[in-house]
Amino acid sequence: MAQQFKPPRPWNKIYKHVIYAVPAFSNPSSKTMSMKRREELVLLAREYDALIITDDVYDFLQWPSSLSPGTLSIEEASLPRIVDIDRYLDGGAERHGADGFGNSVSNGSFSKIFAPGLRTGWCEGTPKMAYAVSQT
Amino acid sequence: MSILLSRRIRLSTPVHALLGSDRVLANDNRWPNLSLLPIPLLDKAAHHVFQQKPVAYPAMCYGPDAGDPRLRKNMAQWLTNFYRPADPVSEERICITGGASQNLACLLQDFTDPLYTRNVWIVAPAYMLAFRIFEDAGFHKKLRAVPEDGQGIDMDYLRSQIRTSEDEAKTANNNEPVSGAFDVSKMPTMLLLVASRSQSDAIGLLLIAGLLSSAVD
Repeated sequence: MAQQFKPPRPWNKIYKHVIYAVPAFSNPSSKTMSMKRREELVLLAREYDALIITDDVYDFLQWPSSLSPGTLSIEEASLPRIVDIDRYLDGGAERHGADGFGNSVSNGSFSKIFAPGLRTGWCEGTPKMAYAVSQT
Repeated sequence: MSILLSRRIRLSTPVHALLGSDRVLANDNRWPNLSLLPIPLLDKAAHHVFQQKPVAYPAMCYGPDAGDPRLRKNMAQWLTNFYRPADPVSEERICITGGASQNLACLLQDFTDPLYTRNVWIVAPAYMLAFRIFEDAGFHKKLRAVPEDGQGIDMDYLRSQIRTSEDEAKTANNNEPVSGAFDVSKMPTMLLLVASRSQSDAIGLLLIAGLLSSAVD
């Protein structure tokens, strides 16, 4: 058996895989992942004990494509984040047989919407996930 | 985190040049124009905080692990308004961080083990400054690129690669997230196993094993 490095801790878990993505306005391809693909990714992560880490830092940087828009800002996201899908799809992180940590976590940042020098952001996930992050 | 915007503004010539000038310059075409920085707003907010001792003192101390409760509450409300989930985002779902890049490192510390965790799958092309964060978490040889198509990540490719990765983990008997190394009652046996490999160290290790056995007993 391979030897592992991390001690067991009651408040966290070790995932088998990590999937890193920027689902909205990906940098540098600028692509946005479709709703169907987001759902498929959550299901795959659940099947293989993967944690999807998304940098959702560009979500707020959107504006109308029209040259004569009624408003200059868009106040709502066009698609749910992967962490939102994981919260609800097939019963979410509390579904039968799941450990409650969820399979996704959203990284947010004030760097793009206020100033990089603030050096402040947030992450969102299940309460168990958020608590574990607070303890690291 | 961003290739364009999150890199530190270099405190070299362009910024210093501004100090004696009203002219706002783009410091570099990869970075935000300095006129976008909300300095008057931050000045006002900071002044407001530091004027009130009941707010100022806690703000300057370590505070709760998950971040200032007022910030978490306001973040939860703001995210609810923007993403419109079926139920409001609760503050228990939010932890305040030092930014997305720092938090990526924290997540890897918390939720991965460089041996047990089989691979890190990165949608490519990817943000180049993320690579070193994964490497520093021990995944230098375990980073794998996943291509994008018109819909985003290529699911068929990812699925087939993860299956192969799982087969390899099974072959290597990499099935437990945590070894028994931290179970004190098993330590003497482990040390004896190690000792048998090296005669020169055997006596010392046996002594340590003996001491631990009596301590455990």
